[in-house]
Amino acid sequence: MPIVLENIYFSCESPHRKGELKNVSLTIEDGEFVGVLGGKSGGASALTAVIGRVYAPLYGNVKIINGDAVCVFSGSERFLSESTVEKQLLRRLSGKELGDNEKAERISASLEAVGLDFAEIKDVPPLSLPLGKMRLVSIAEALLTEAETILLDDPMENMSVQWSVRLMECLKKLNDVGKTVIIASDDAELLSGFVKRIIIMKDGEIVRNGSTKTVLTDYYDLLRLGIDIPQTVLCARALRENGIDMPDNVLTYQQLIDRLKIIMWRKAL
Amino acid sequence: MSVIKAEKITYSCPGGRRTGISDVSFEAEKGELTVILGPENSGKTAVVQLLNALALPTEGKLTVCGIETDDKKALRELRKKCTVVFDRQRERFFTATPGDELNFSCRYAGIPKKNVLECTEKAKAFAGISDIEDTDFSLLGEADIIKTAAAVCLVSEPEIIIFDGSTSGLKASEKAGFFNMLKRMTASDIAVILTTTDSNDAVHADRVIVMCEGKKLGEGTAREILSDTELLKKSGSEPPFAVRVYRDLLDADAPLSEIPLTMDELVKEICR
Repeated sequence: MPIVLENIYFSCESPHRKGELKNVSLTIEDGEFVGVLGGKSGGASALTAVIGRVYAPLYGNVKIINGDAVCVFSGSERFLSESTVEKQLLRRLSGKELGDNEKAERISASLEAVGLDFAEIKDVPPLSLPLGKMRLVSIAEALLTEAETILLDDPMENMSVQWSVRLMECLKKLNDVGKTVIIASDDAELLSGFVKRIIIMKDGEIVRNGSTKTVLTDYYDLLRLGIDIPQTVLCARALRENGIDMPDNVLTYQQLIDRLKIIMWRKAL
Repeated sequence: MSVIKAEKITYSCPGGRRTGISDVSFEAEKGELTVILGPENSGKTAVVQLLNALALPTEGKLTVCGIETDDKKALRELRKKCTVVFDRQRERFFTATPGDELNFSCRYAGIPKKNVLECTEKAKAFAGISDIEDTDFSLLGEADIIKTAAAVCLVSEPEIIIFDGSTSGLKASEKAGFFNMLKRMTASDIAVILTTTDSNDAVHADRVIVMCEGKKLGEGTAREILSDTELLKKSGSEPPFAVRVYRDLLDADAPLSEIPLTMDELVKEICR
């Protein structure tokens, strides 16, 4: 039961968000883990916002057949304005008819799902947390909606490498239990280790849509599109330029090392 | 004489939620890039706050450009000589465009009106922002924000410019331009300090200081620190890509001088 976009047109010219979508059609299946490259100017942000129903498209249809979608949009950690994490998450549950116990259980479960400890963090003001934890709290808040699809717009912006990896691992866990995860980010390198499919947006249109391996190992393509190329791909290419026999579909670190070991061993003979 | 001299400084952040630092000593020299490397919450920003005298150490002595940071009368002079490009710099601008911000900072620095034009032109050219001086900040990317902040610092002709976490918002393609700018600064004898969580940034440093949980774990040249996998692991950092590949491929105990730090060095080493 997929998510289907049909001929979407969208434009948003507010001072803080630029982005447009031009005749975008796309199908995303249940349980996929998709990375969207291209940045705000390319339309990656706009795509997550439109699928996540933060904005309605100007034209075209967004059909989400299985369950609902929730979007953690860029900079949403600024809205963590309650005095404690617990109050912040309770606010999200305020419309629902649940007993206090059940609310506490759900909050605890959603924090656990993002790798945070309820007891440790519940009385802390969210805005005093380090950026990485704030973003995880935003995701925990989104999980309370029980949506089947989670979209994230640049959650790793300005975040350190360690926290970015932690956030991606959290998303992987969510995908493993069946959530459909769609993440817009500029960090192709980091996405390459996690997502199964990559969509590249440019000027509001989808220009590439395929498996992570196919899309991210095409050096010249990525260069032309202005996408940051993963280090392993850069390394493989540099080695090829210097006459070393590296295949052109090397993506993961392990693949690179394994291949290089064989080459070094042959050289030694 | 070193332009920064920290002697056994200790500081705890009020409220106790963020890490302070304890017993940290280091020095920084003019014309050098000193990188402070450490994971989140290792005290890097605390060091920056102390260097800029936004906070005072509870123990130890900190001398910046010959001025002790607890010298209240010399505070203004200290902040002219030691400038900072902050984390979340975007929120700290007073005006709407880089051009306006530079003009404002000239007036704030007390530069006489007749010199303002020359001053801003020089700063703009150095940072490479002449073509975006009238663009609204909300439309500018992270790289341009940092360049603008650097230009603002340059206005007061500082001896030190500190970049606190500036590289975390930059794309890989923008980093080359950023480090180029840092090189031009050190070539003009400015001491540049950069705090970062990414060991790849430390490759360009003259001096690397490794911090973790408020303590200094080590100090040395870029090559010494970045090839020390044990030290980096202890501080929660990863060695740069080239070092990882080299170690995993070849000798875990290879001699120091041979270890490649950059992609180019790695490729050369493999092709030998």
